[in-house]
Amino acid sequence: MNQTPRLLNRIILSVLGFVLLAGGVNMLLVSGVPGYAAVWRRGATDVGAWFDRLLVDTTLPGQKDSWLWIVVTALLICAVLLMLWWIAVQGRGRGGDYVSIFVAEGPMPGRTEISQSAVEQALRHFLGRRSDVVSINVSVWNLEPEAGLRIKVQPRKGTAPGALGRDVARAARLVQGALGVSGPVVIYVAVGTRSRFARIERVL
Amino acid sequence: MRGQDSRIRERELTSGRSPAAITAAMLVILVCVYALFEAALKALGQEALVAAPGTWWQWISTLPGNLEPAAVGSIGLGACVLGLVLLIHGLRRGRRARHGLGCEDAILIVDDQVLAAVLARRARSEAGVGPGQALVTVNRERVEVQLSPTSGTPVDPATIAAGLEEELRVNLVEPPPRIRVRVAERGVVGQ
Repeated sequence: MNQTPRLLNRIILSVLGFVLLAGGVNMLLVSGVPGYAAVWRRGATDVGAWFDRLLVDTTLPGQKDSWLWIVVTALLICAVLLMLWWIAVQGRGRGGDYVSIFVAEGPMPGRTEISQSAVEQALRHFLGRRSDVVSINVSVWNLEPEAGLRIKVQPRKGTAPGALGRDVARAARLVQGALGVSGPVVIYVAVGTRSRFARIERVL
Repeated sequence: MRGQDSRIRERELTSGRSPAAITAAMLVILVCVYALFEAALKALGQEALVAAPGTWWQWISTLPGNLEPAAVGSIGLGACVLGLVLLIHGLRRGRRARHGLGCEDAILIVDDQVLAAVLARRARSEAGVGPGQALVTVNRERVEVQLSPTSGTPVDPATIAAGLEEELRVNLVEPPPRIRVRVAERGVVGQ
């Protein structure tokens, strides 16, 4: 339910991977095929000469080096900042309060906020005491138009996940009905360390 | 709303490639910071740290230069492998070890290990064997059951497969995976 920019991740990873692959193949060919190495050296030297001419053309009179280096520096700073932004947007989208509405009229006007832990308590109440669940964990995610609820359930080993998941879903809908919201609900029946090392029940 | 639900479902079932993205971003940042340093030194007219950009290009354009061709080749091979890994991360769907179950009220996602545990339990009760005699692995579209029957008690693979199919149907696994039961030829001492 998070807002990781998945398409962007895949595009940048593919482009970087392709560039690295092309560079690697180039190096392999240069080291292995003498004919290709000669072509590469000629081409690369031409490019170097062209860039040198560009540098000379862009050097202001009275200065030692071209102002192009300042442009390159600025571009590199932009690239670093973009990469930092790219790291920062991974896995974002976690919301604090499940409900946050402003009521202007009525006997008690004001803002009502219901936090994620209240949702968790209500869910436990509607589910009742269950012996097949090791732990329940609720998180709220910012979605449009309504916030999403993600319920992570760790069952005891060997519990049928279908029935358990549908019970939790029903309880979650009851909670939503009580709170007056109707956002999407994800129920994730997970294997965790606690259920992994729990005692296996004898079947026979 | 249906569209949003199926998007969320896809997000839960596949990987977002965040670890690969963070690693790639770190690499790019390292390279950029070094290049930035050299470019800044050049712009300020100072001595280069390792080599000026021009010297770098000279090294690259005269490859393999005075380096061993084998060394250049192995660096190239390393770059190829890294590039291929990134490319595969970018292009493949990246399924997680999870399955979606049918559910009216919510999006229901289950770890494959949870599914395997319940199938193993069912297989054990169908075959009448103790824990540790049934091993179940759940893949994307295949369930493999490996059963070591108790000596003297014959086990019919078809019955077990039918039982597991019913278990998958009861749990509404979507899409239902194929089941393959393998019964070991030699029995073991049961409990």
